[in-house]
Amino acid sequence: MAAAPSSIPSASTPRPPAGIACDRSVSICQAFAHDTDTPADPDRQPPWAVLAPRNIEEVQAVICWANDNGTGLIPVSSSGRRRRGDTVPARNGTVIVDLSGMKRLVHVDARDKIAIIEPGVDFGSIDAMLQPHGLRVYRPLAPRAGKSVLASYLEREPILAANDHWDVGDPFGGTGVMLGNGRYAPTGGAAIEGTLPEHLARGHRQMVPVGPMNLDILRVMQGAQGSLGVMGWGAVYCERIPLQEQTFFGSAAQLEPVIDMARDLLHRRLGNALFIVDRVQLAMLLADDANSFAALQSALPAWILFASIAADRYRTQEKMAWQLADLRHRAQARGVNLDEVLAGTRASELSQRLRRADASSFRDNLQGAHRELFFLQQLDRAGSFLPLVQGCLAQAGLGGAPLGVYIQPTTQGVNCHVEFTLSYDPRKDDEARRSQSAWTQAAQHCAQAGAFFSRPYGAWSDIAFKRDRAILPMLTIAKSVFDPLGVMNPGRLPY
Amino acid sequence: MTTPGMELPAAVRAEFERIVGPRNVSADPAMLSGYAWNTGIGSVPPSGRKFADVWPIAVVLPGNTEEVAALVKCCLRHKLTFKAHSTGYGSMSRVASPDTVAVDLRRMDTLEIDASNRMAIIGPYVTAGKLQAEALKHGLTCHIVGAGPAHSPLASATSLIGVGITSQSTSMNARNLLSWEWVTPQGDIVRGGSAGSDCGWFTGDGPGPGVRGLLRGFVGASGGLGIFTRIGYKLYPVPLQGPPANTGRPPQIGMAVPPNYALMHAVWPDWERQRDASFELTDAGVANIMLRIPPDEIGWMLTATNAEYVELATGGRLPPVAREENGKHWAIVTASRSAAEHAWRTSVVRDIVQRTGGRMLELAPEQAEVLLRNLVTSIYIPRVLRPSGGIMTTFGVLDSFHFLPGAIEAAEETLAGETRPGGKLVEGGREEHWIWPHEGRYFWAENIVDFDTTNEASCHAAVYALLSHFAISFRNPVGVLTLGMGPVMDLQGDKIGAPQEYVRGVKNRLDPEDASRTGDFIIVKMPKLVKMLLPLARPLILSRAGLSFLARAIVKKGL
Repeated sequence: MAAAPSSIPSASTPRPPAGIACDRSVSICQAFAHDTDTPADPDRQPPWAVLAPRNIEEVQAVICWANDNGTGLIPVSSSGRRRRGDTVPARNGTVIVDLSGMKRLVHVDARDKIAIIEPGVDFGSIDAMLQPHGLRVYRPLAPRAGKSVLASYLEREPILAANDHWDVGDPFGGTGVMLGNGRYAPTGGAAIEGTLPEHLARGHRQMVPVGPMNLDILRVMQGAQGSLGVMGWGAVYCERIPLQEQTFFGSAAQLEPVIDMARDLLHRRLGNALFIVDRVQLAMLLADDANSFAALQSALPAWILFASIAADRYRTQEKMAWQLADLRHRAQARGVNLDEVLAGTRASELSQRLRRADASSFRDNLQGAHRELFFLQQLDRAGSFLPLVQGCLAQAGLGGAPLGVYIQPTTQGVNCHVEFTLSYDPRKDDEARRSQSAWTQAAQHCAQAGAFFSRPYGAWSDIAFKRDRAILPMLTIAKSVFDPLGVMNPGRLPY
Repeated sequence: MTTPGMELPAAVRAEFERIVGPRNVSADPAMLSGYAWNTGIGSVPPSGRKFADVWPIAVVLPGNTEEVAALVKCCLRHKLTFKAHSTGYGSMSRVASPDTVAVDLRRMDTLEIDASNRMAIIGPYVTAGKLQAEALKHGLTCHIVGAGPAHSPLASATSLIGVGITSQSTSMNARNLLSWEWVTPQGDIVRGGSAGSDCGWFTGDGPGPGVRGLLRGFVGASGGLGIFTRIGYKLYPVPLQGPPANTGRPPQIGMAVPPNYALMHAVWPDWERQRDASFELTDAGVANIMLRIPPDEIGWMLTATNAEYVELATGGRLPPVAREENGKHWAIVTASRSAAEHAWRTSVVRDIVQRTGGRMLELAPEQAEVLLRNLVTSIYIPRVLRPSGGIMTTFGVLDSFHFLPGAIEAAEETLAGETRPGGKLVEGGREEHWIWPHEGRYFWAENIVDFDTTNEASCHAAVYALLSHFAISFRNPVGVLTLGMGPVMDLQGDKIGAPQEYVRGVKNRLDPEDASRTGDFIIVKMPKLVKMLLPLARPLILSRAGLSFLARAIVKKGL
């Protein structure tokens, strides 16, 4: 038997761009042919190289090279286990642009609570970088350590700080984007004459996400799954680390009172982190193994609101006191139990857990794998999807499978992210297959019931764009304007 | 007086009438004059005339989205252009071509409040005042831009700028727009965001890329990219239920200070200390509204007539809040839901003011009530226009409070002493900045230029101030250039990533014949020679002589 080649053959591929680190080893390239929930397509070639630019100038060189050679580029900023299929090639002849080595914290301004970071800065490292400045980053629900902060925000992953999420752009300020046409496009507050170092020296802090002029390039880039350009750096708003912080579980047997209480807190802009989970999701978050999961799940109430109140240096005790009084009053008014300890777990432990980033997703801890289903709706409709998903699982004989629910208010409570997590054992082929089928059906049922798939990964793309065909011409315009030769993540979205 | 230059063909009129009904079509000059009225922000009447040179060929009033789409297609068939018209304030509401049909959207005023989800679904002719009145019944309010309660939030959110004095707690309209319904320049009906998937009106982005970013950025297309017909719009909770309780007598109507509300007026000796306080006040998150108005303009708010203002000013009897020496100030509104919260907010404000070397100015109750009502309802425009009838604006900033002193200096340079006694602009301070924070993050500073629309020299000084602010911004930016509209995009764009080329690309793909026509959007077809020469000519254009020449030309032609 002939030995396997150690690098992808170069006969049909162009010479890689000069001066850019390039890895063509088979094992590395093959690893990008699939991800955790997207199998490799036997008819699809793996990427033939992994390019690793070190700065935005090298990113530009790569994109220009791709335009010259007609090579598809798939940007990857995170490290570790990938999923959702958005970084798996949908066309032949692609290369990976690995941005995970761009890890610079370019600038921090504690006074304006804003930092400029590169795409390789991840949730596992950023808080340590910001801590000396008295800041911490806005986080989604327990991201894994290797998840790129910029990629998370670009994907519109919801942040826990619902009250600071004014609009989908948050927590972005201005950014530096290299478009698919190979041209640099500063967005929002970065669109000022001069270079970034000149801006910083003058005191500009790239604070507004919208613009420039009649365009909102950042908004178009968000949700594009790397198909329009590459963000070389981004200014991101941060939270000031509070002097005091107190965390609570608000719990009830029904979802409605918990949602009502969440809404009350949002109307008061009360609560730093603020989200709702069911007992399964919370047990997944807290448990270290199957035994502790089972114990927690049986001990926890059905629905839990997690809320933290905090105060900084301005009359700290007074602020904590009125916030606490308000929180208690709202819980009482809504018939929600307010506790600092639930099923033996302190809310402050969960708070610490939420600031920690593990190598793998907590959702995998229980059985080794999970399926996720998420979309946007509004708080008063969030609960209506659970019976649909449960019905699909029951039909597939998986009625007893651990199904977690996470509801994250977004846009300050105007809408919310609804997420279902199904834990399964990937070694049990039959269960994995049935859960896959049930999950596909659940997505369709939810869509028919009003779930909005604003982030259409994988099979959800068909569901989402079948329901909104009128928007397709606008997608085509976006692609033709920003990436006219179609080099960015080709075939990923229906442009 | 200029009158319409084109006559609407009878066959076209008949088609319009079939679409919207005979009552809703007019080509009567008496009616059309209302759509050529030359006033409001950005308007400079040519040689003092009341009417613009260009009148619409007709006005049509559709009653729903389908009628708008049919009208657009009818215009395209007959090679007419069209422009949306909602509440019609400012130069950007006018048509730019004599073959343009003004599509007046005043019949489309549907308003639905979704209180539990703190949003509204509104049509183009829902005014901010009406929306606020309805929202307040549910303990909610809406963002109201500088144009005041008479403006259309839909027009502001989709098609123009959208900043207003309550941005500290109500953001700006580029960020308040949720889902959107739009008739494209080709007459197709498109819904963006969640409404496009028939899921509701709660978000404007997706599936996939947020293509709304092609239709509006910080600035909208001013009617140059079709017609927006319905939107989801974000509302903001306030500890206030029902209409404000009025006090005083017209025109000096005030508002009783609600329980657990406070209006404080803090003053600092210099801009540096006010800047330091601004960082702290926004960081502490204590204020619902923070606003700095030039002291002379506070005087306009507190007097019933121009005559009263002049009498008090010349007699040295203006109240302290309206005196120039107290110009480095913040009017701070705190709104709380409990006595304890109220005590905390007001105490923190006082702490910060004291720590940063400021002091509190005491307001007479009737003054506080008038100023508070203005702050809550943003009803400033009648007073700002009162002295002379003409206003222009400059700057924007949208950056760190670090730039506060620099923004003041730049505004002084822009006005070049023309607001001082003997100057050509309405008399006032050395700068006329209205300043407020956004979301506790960055600040907006808008230098209001009041001028006499009947006086050519005054018009010239106003236009020169507008143009010179571009030159100053290019030379030494104090934040983002926010008025980069129309030809200015081409003057600056290549220095900031050439966004104008993408804007032009979007326009030409959606509307190659420029049927959705406006004078305030991009230059649709940029001649190659001009594009080539523009960078070379920029220093000349931005020179003192160049600006003065341009200002003269604009005053002669009108703006």
